[in-house]
This record gives sequence, C-alpha cells and structure tokens, in this order.
Amino acid sequence: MTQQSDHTEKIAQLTTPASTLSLQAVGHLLVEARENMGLSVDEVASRLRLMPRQVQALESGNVDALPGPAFVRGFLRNYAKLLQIDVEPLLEACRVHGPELSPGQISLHSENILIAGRERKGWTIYLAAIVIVILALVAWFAYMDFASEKSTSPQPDPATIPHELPDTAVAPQSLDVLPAPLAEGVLPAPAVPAAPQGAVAEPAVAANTAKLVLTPTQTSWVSVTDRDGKELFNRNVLTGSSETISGTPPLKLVIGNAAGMQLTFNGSTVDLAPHIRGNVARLTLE
Amino acid sequence: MFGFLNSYFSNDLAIDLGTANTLIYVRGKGIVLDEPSVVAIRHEGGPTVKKTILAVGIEAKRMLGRAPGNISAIRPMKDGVIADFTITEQMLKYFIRKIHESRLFSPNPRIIICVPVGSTQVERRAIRESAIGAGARQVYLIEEPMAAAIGADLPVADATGSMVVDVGGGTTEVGVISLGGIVYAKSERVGGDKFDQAIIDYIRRNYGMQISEPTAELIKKKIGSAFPGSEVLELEITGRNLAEGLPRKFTISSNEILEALTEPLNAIVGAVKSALEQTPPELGADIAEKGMVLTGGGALLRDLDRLLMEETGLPVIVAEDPLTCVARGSGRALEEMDKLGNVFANE
Repeated sequence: MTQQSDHTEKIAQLTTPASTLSLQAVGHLLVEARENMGLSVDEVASRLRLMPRQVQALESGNVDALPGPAFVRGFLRNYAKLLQIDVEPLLEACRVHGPELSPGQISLHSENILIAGRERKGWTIYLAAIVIVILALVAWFAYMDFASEKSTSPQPDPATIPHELPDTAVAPQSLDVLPAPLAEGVLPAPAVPAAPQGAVAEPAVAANTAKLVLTPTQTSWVSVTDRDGKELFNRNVLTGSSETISGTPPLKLVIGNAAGMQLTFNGSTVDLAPHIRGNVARLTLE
Repeated sequence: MFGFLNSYFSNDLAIDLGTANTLIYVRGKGIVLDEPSVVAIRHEGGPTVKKTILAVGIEAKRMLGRAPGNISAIRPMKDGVIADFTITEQMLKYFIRKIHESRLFSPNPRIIICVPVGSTQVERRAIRESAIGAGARQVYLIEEPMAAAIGADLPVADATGSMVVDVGGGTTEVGVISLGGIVYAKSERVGGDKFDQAIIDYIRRNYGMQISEPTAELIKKKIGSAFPGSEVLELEITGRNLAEGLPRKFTISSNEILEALTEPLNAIVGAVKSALEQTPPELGADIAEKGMVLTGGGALLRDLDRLLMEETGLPVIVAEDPLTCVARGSGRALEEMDKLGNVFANE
C-alpha cells in the first residue's frame, strides 16, 4: 500500500496539470516500481506471459516494437496490476504520446476486380442502352413520316407532277380510246410554239384528274375515294348504265359483285381479277 | 420507393441482443440504450382476459423473482438465442420505439444484429424475423466474435491473427480473426447465467439454502473470482433454509464461489484451448505474441484473465469497457456498412 502511495506522489511530481507523462517517463515509472518489488525483467515477463523483449519495449517506451495500440494498453494494464500501481496516468500518457488510437480498417482492402466470365452487369447495361437508342430512332422516324405526310397532303405533290405528266400524255397515245385526240393535241405542243394556250392548260388539269368509266354487266355497288380521302362515289351502279367519275389520283376503289363490272381508267381497261377477294375487289388506281 | 425518405426519418441501428442485456447503438450517436433483456407480462383477469406487457428492461428486471402470480417476469433470450419469439419481438419493438423521439413516423430502420457464431440457421432466422417484426426495413447479421474484435480495436483486417474471447450472459464465443474474417470460431453455451446457476446449486448442496438468481448474480459480482487470489472476500447473504423453510442469513467466501464456478470455468478454458489447437500455426504465432483479448460481461469476473493466462501460457488482456465491446463493434460496422461486404454473416 505504501508503495502505491509513493508512486502516486511520483506521478504527481512528474505531471503538471497541463501536460501528461511522456512514454519514457512511463517506462521509468515501471522500471522503478519493478525494482522496488525486487523483480527482474525475466520474472515479470514470465508472470505476464510476455517475451522479455516486449517487457523491455514497454519499459523503454518503444511502443512501435509492440503489436498495436489496443495491445499496448492491455499490456500496460496487466503490468500495472502486477506492480500494484495506478494505471490511469500511464494509459493517459499512452493515449497522448502513443501510436494513433484511430481505429484501423475493419474490412479488408480489395482491388475489386471481378474474375472474367462473370461480368454480366456491364454487358446488360450496354444491351439496354443499344435497345433504347434503336427505339428512340424508330420513334423519331415514325414521327417525321407522320409530320411530313400531314404538312404535304393539302398541296399537290411536286414530285408526282412531272412524273405524271408524260404518263397521262403517253398512255392515251398507245391506247386509242376516248382521250386519244386530246393526247394528239398535247404531244406536238412543245414542237409547235403557236399552239393555243388552252391546249397547254388542259393537260395540267388532266394531270390532276383521272377519269374512271364504270360499265357494269350486273348491278354492283361501287365506292371511290380520291387522294384526299374525299368520297367521290358511293352507290349501286345498275346493269346497262354507265358512270364516269373523275378525281385526283390515286383513287381507291371498293367494288362489290366485282365479277360483273368492267372498268376503264384513263382510257385503258383494268383487269379486276387479281384484286377480287370473295367477289369484292379493293384496289388503288394511279 | 420511399426508401431514401425513410433514411431521413429513421436512424440505422446496431443491436447487441444479448441473453442478459440488450444494447442499441444509433448511427452517429453511439450507444443510447443498455437495458436488461427482461420483460414483465401481466395476465389480466375479469372481463378483459388478455396478456399485456407491464414493463421492459430495468423496471422488469426489478420484478424478477418478486412478482405475484398474475405477473411473470421472463427473459426471452436463452443461451444467446431466442427462447420466446413473440416476447423478443415485443421487447425489440419497445426498445426501438424508446430511442426514436419522433412519434410522427413509425421507425423503419436498417438494423445490424449480432448472432452467436454457433447458432443454427433456424435460430438466425428467428432473430432476423423478430427484428423485421419489430419494424426493421432490412436486417444484417454479424457474428459476435467479429463484432467483439472490432469493438476491442483489434487489427481485424490486417494479415495477422487476433484472438477474442467474448464471455456473454448465455454464450462464450471464441474467435480467431484474420484478414477481416473469422478463421476459427467456437461457441460454448456457458456464460454469466451458468455462473449464477452454478452458485445457486453450490449453495443448495453445501448449505441447504435456496437463493434467487438476482442474489446469485450479486454474489458473483461482489466476491466471485476465477483464480485463487491473495485476499479472501466474504459476503453475508440471505436465503431460504430448505430444512426449516425460513429465511436465514449466512456468510460465504470467495474461495467457495471459486469452487462453485469450477465447472463453467473449465468449459470456457476448454473452448479456448480447443480454439488454439485448431488455429493454423502461423496465426498461433501471432496470438502467442499479442495474446488473447477478453470481452463481454464475463471478462469482469475477477481474475478470469489470470486463469486463462495460467492455463494457456499466453498473455491475456481485458478489453476496455468489455460490456459494450460487441455493441461498439457492431456500431462501427454500422457506420461503415455501405463500404463493407465481408464482415457480415450469412444466414
């Protein structure tokens, strides 16, 4: 008990309120207390089950030679208990001057490299990205198509006019039906500059309108829609009668009882046979 | 969908659901709750026949052994695992509500919970389910030796062996840890409860006196020791004389308690020795240099470190604040939860 009070005094001498013991001072205290008890380093080592070099490291304040902060503090506590001295100032010194008590890593540092063949995640992400891009492109084109159809439909298609001009002009030439004399008037037009103005205007109208002649052998129902979706004709055509319809091509036709119908489009006979399904013909004429 | 919102309203918790005490660590705050794992239940009679929870924790512990017929104070955990599922769930729910100040939203935290290393899949599932029943959004399990080693500031992630002996209320867990994982672990169902029971049995056998569990615990804390020391302590206690049936006072000494504790202490020493036998030699060398670290309430038993030192010939150190080691360790795992992968246990 006297020993302990001696040491408390000693610690009080060595510690000023503002500072703590240095690790060397801790070592000196331990050496002194050990010598007071008449113990050698080896005896202490065997009692604490430590190696003599570990005891020497504690006594010289060389904490780097010891396993780590948690163990240094544990060893100090055991040593102080053996020497029956107050351990708190020693631990305080250790806290201030000793190795960082900052807790070490608790999980293993990993390079985090996946072994080949199992890296699925990246692959699916790329696939998903590609699919999304494709879908976006498809959606864009569909929208563009829709938008252009809407904006161009009320006006005549500039691309079809020059294409149709020779079409309507040439077709009557080869087929000697109704508009044949008209076509004859048109053809020489570029060659004869003196041709009347009306002859030039007429093919322009003809280009925009097509003439359809229905001559049924049996009564049948006919519906005709022009390019703008306007219904030009929708009723029964009686046997023996003949109907002439003119409108802007392409013309959409639905003909009931198609077997008994003969059709002439711009002077040429149209064969309905390939369009008939169940005695109803659906076709588009341009 | 509201997961990210929940994280604002509920703090993540680490729970050391022990046989004797339950400790709760809140992320960013530290240990906020440390109460005995005891629940007092009242069986109500009359028109409303039902069971209600009367008290939980310290309050309930005071009722242990003193309750009238319609109140039963029970300890829902036994040997480190759940003995009464419903009551454990209710107890957890109570503790979680207690630490959540906000009453507006019901707490919905992520929870790390400790399990004994020797527990079976069924026992682990029970612990997980009870935590979910108590309101957890997600439950992660951590094995007790790992948590204890982290709490004792051992270099768990280094390429060096560290040995930890956690003597809890119900189990003693011995673990050898290296590179962030458990190399060898053994769980022995011996702990503070077995010490108490050994003292009760000893006194009944040698004195013909019946003492209660709280008294046995008091004896253990006051004069219990694991190794014959220089000074002999004595304590006067009161028990019921079995022959007369009347309360009688008598005095018991620390040497007798040492004798009473021989059997459970031998089981602990056996577990430590068998762990050392199974440890690979390279890690054994590390342990021989650093020694083993004692944690848990059992580490407070006088001279338990001395006993293990004599029996194994290795240095033994008692961790600082051994009672909260496991809770602090799982708390650290909680703080770094999103970075960790390998310290958690599988079911």
